[in-house]
Amino acid sequence: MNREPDDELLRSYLLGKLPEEAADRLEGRLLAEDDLFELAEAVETDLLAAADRGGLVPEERERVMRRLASSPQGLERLAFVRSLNRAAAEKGGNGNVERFVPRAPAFQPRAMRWMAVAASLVMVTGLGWVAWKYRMHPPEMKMPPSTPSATQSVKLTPAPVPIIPPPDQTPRPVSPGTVPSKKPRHTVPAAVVALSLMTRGDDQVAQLHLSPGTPKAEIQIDASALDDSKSFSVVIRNDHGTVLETRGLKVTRLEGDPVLVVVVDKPAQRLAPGRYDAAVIPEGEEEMGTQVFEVVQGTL
Amino acid sequence: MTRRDDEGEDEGEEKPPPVKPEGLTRESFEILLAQLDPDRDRAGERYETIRRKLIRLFEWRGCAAPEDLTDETFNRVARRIAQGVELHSADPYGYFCGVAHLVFKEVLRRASREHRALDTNGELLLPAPMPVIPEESGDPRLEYLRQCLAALPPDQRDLVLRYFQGESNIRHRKTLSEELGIPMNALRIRVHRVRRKLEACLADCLCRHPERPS
Repeated sequence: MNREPDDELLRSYLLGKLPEEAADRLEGRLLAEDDLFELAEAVETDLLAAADRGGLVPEERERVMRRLASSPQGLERLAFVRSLNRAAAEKGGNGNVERFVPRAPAFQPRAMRWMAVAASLVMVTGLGWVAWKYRMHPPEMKMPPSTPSATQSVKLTPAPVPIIPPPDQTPRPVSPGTVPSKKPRHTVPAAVVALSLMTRGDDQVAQLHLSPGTPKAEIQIDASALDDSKSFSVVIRNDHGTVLETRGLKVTRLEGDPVLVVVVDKPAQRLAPGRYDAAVIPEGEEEMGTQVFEVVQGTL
Repeated sequence: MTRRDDEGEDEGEEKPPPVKPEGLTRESFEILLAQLDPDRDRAGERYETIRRKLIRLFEWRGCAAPEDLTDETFNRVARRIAQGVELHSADPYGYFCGVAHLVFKEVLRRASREHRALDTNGELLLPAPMPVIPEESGDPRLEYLRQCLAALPPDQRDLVLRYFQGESNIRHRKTLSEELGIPMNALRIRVHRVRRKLEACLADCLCRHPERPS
């Protein structure tokens, strides 16, 4: 959603982010222009409502609470907006107001994961077999039959001869009981969980299986609901509402793919087993939606 | 200090006479009003509007005593007028704004001298910690608000509820502004006016029956 210029200016002013001179100029306008002043109060209410719903990034929420909700009048406004949020939620719960329709994922997250693993195995096995066979039995080059015309002689360029590796590099069958000289390195793959902002409710909670040695966890969020927003932040909270430290969180949006990928380094240390919710917040906007997922202790 | 309510702006409502700021003589106050507008009623309205706005501006700047600072601003403007300064009756706001900024900067300097909390932008922070809002249990607001909502015309009720509905209400608002065919800021102001009605109704309910409604 594109903000209108005054809206953005007022938001910055109310959050205390406007430079001193710009704030002074704006205050001159606020005194003289009734419409602008009214809009400022409306934006203030929006900020309080968003802060109450948990729809702001922590830094902005703290600014709202300290600057707009610290005085007795501010506290009163916050309490009013909280009641209004609840009344509106009740109304929405009664079905009188249009709600987002939950969309069930095509596959259960667990099934998707196993299908991905199976597909990878089949592909790797197939490619390995083709490569091995090619090395052992390189295909013969067949020349197409030449059909020289009476008027034109065609000189065919021989196809390049495939390079066959020297005999000592060809794979040798390993006799039973032989121990390979180099043991293949065993790595724990990154754990992945796929979430969709359109899926709501607790009936289908995606699970992130974390083994102790997992180096990275990827939280993939379907971001097709994010319209044209360019920058996002993702807030991950545990079920006590504590926000996961954002350092080490890497959020990327894949080119041409409406998927946000949040990479969490050393996830076993940072994501204790339990429920979390991931909230996507476009820059300068309120929270777009949250999705619950569960971290469970996995096994190798 | 008497707290003036900013809500009653309905047509035909009888407005109370403007209340003189503390520390200002009756004579100075009358001179100030005369500078705001030759018509005393309109001057009173203008005075109340400026006062209400200055209080909010000081609040938004994070000042702990916005009403006192507003009174101080009026006192200084009145003193200047007594010394012969004339306000432009078409646009007296610039002068008030300039004086308010001086008052604010003095507060900042004083606070700095007193080693009170200042953030990196030099803004005065309220000493209060993060506020804790009491939960709804025992708070009659929600029930009174339901009653106030029920008393609203249906279109206004639906408008305000849809505006505040949902954990992610940006889409609702966008849809709402498109449905109404008005820009987002016009929608904000429209909802804000309904909200003010509700706020006034709720304040009235709480004033008459501060305990939980039956």
